[in-house]
Amino acid sequence: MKIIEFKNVSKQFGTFFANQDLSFSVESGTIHGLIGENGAGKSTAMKVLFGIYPLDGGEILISEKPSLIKNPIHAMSLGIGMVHQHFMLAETETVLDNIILGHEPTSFFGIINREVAQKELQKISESYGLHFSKWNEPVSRLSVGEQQRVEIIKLLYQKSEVLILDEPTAVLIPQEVKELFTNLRRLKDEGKTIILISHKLKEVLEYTDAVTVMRRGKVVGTKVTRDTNEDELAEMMVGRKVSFTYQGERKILASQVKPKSVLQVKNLSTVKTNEPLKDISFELNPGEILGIAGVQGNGQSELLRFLSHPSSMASKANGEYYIQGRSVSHASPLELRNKGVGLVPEDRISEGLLLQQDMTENFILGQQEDPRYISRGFINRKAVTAQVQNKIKEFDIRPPYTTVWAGKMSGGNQQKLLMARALDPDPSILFVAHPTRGVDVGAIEKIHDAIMQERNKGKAVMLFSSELDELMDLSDRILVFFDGKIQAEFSRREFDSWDIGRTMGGGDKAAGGEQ
Amino acid sequence: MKAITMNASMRALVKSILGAMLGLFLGLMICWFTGESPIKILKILFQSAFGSGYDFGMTLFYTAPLLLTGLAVAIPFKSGLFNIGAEGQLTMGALAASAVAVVAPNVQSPVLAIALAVVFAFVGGGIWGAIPGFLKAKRGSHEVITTIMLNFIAAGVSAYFTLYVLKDPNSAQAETLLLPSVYHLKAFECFNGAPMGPLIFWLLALVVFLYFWMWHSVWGYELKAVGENEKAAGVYGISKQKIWMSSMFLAGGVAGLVGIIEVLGNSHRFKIGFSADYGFVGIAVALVARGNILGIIPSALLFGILQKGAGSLDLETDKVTRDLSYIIQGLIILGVAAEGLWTRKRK
Amino acid sequence: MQSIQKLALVLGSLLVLSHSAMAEIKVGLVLEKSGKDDKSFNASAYQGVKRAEKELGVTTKTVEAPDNSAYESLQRAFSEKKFDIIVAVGFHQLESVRNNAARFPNQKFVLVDEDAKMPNVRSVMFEEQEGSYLVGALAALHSKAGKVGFMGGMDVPLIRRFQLGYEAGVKKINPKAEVLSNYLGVTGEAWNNPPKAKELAFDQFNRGAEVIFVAAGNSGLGVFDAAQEKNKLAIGVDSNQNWVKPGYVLTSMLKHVDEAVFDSIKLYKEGKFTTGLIRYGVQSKGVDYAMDENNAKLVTANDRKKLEALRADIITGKIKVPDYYLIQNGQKKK
Repeated sequence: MKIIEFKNVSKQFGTFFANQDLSFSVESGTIHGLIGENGAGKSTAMKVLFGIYPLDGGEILISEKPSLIKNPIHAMSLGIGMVHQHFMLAETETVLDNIILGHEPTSFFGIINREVAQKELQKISESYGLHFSKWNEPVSRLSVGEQQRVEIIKLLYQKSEVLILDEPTAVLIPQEVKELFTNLRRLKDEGKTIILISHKLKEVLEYTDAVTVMRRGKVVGTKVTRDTNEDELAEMMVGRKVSFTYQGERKILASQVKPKSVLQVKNLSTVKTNEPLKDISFELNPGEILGIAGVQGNGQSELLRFLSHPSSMASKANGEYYIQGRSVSHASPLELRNKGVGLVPEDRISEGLLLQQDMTENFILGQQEDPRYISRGFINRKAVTAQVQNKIKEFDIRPPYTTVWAGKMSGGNQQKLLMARALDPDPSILFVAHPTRGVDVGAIEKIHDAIMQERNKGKAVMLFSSELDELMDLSDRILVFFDGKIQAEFSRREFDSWDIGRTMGGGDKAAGGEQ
Repeated sequence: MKAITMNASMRALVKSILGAMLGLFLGLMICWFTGESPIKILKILFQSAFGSGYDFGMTLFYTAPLLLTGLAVAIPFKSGLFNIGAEGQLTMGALAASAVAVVAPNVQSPVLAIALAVVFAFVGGGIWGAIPGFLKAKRGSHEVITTIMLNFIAAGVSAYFTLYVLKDPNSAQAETLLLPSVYHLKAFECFNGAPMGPLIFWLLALVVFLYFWMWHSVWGYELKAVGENEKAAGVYGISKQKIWMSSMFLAGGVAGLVGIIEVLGNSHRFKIGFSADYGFVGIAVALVARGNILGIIPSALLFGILQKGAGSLDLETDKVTRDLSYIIQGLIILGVAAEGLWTRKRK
Repeated sequence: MQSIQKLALVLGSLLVLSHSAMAEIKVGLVLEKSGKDDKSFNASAYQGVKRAEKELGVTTKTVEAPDNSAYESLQRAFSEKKFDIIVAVGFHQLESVRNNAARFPNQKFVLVDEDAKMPNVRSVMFEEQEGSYLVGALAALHSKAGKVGFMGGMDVPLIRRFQLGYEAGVKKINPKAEVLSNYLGVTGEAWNNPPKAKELAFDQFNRGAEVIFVAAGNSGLGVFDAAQEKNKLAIGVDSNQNWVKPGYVLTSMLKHVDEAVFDSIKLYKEGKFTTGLIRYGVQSKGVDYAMDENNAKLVTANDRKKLEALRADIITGKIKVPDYYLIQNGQKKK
């Protein structure tokens, strides 16, 4: 039975179609994937289904009956529940109170009967094999995976038949991902229908029964999962063939044959012993990409902060830092910029962008005093806008309007804007951190190309990433960080994911050789 | 594409006007319930604001301080600070302006005298604004708390100076010495006694100048960046400490210029309690202007009209009192604030 | 013929009468920011005007100034509407009355609590120090240990005047007595902060004060509360506040603004309106201590005899009550 069916559904924001003529259906008792690049309209479609946005055209059928969903409460009463990408839990309240909120079992005089609620929850948890019992803990004490399970139990408690999960694995570590899908399969066996919004092809291929692909607000097609493959889905998503390993040109440069470093760090340590960074020394050469690998929290962030803003670490770290032979141990970001340093920060939202400002305003962040953009002491926005228009073409930033708010752009396009900004003063040294985190396939290629081009022009690049595949694809050298130290160094010909992985966990590089 | 932002800022303005209209409408409905015709109330407000040269002059006299306090709230707001302290800042600015008489009683040139008073008022208010800016930057003290506290301290300091240092011994009131006539500002003849003169054009010019300054200067950009995302601004080397201190100094200084309107333009001395809560109404002015610097002009005028009209409502009707004006002011603020609710719902 | 003459006379006098009724007297009252509900000074002026409306048949209109810059335009509006008398209450209105009196030389003004020194202004001032002297004496009579308190709203010359007279009255009865004094604040809130007044009153009572005279507008209510809780005495101000906490309010230092306002309107109606400075002291009972059934048991006949003797001495000039205003001006001369 088709439990959900979209017929020519459209949703408009102003003149922009977030969803246009969507038609697809979801069979009852299946896990149905909904995939597409960031900004393809997946979340919008599901928010229409969940009653958050009213639809502007077409109709939605639930259990083959046309239904006009008025609001989320109405959607819940129709058996539709949604787990949002950012959990909707009150952190300081207990799990129990979070789950029963809005559906409290009450005795006389409206007094909440928590015992009844807890018994019922325990029953739900056991019958679906979810193994959860921390009902009276505040949500803030739960791990991310547990919080997600609470959200799912909440939907089950509300007797949802269709569970929509928006990018559920984005926040999970691999073990948790596995557990999540084990649970989802069990729910499916119990007759529930699950709609999984994702842009990770591998998990969709592994766990869903059918998959609907969206691109630019439209449905490209729906496939039975076992009849398709990664390449086909990727092509549907992006609109052309894509490859998953970097295919661009890697020039061999003179500077690599006879290295002469442009950046040196000597004996960098943080002052407090419980903080990371212990006696870090390395050099960076022009024409190379130096990858920085490591499990998050092993000192990479602090290193980047020191390198990009040494003055802010003045009281927190000791060590020498030279660029082109000059000491910059206490330099400000502006001084570094004048010495030819470009930066793509770790977290584009919190460290890189002014979300409620347009591209022009974002583009001059950090270069607001660049003489190219100043005339008669004031910021020359015409000059900036002209430059942004060039960069939009160069980096294929979408939507291609300088007046678009950064917050309204997709992650990939935000990242392209950050790359364009970092490269604008033509830096000779580039720090790039997590350039493709949460970015869709199409944009990844573009960003990797840009990084490689800089290297091929003889620029010195440091690439911080948590994606080992990315580091191995692009880097000439990799430094592995563990516990604040450089645990190992690998040159490109030594790259081996198994070896690098072991050193990331604290193992010895040499040990790998002996095995 | 350009049309998108034009529309966005235009739409914000239109929304704000709609919100204000809604508030005004509700206020008029209230007087309808009390038995006064809303048309009559509107007529009274209009007459009171523009009925004669004197009335218009008085309306401008009430509007002028609100231009300044509106700026004093709107400017730090762009850097993420909520300045509740304009009242204290304008008190200190006015006190400082009145102190020029003691510091430089024998200035001959009116231009020099007024320039001196402007510097005093600006620096007096500016220091009072810079203190919370400094505390926020260096110690992380919340500016809402510190500015409120400094309002009280300003009241105390000004009372001390008024009663014990600058006191006019001939007066039974809490007021300072009369300033020499070289410090007095001229009022327009056509205002027929209302204490407002060419100063209003200077103040309007100041608003326009600050509008351009905020938008085109590097400082204005950095201020906006800090307000929008202080972490990102920090990563790119913009010091939020410097921005906070300078924006609060500027805000305090601008609020301090209220002292010029009052001390040089009106009573020619500092009087305890001269302010019609300009510092607090300034918050409403900035809110209704939605942080748009130029929007402060119509917004301040609106609140100036209502302040001027408060007494007239009392005078011209049997049932309505000055409180209706405050109810309308409150409803306008609510209308503008609530506008976010109903427009979001429509989406 | 005679009858026709009589008829004409009657008709004529009727005409005159109706004419005078048509040209009724219009009184405009401009109150301070604190308004007619301040239970004190402005309320008293308002009562005076209302009484004139009832007893003298005049038309009145009252406005409360929304802020301290509005006085001038409100008085001016009354003047432009051809009101006969404009009553301005409170020293804040001095400057605006002076400006408007100059602008409208034919307009009659009554200014309460300040001397406008203008030919068309009747300035009404009260000898607050004299009334304060009497209540000070009464306070000393009710303090066995010789410790009493004073609480002012804001530290302004007017309130200093109360304090100085009060202290002199206390010392007259008991030269060794000690007067504790506090002021409530430096903003307008000082007149409207009963909780703070209550705290300070507790403090004064704890330090041994047995009676507190409070001249702080609305804040006085806090002192009355404290007196009740500590079973001590308080003295009210401006209007009769004995009823607020019967048994705990020893008396009130009356300032008969209502009488002064009423008198001015009455004189105008009778064509006897005079301008210039009019002083109300203990002689005219413009300032006085309040007696009613609420404090009849507190104030003994003996007390009253002593107070009346003091009043007589003040009137004859045998007792010179110190006046802060004069002292202040004296300071200037030095």
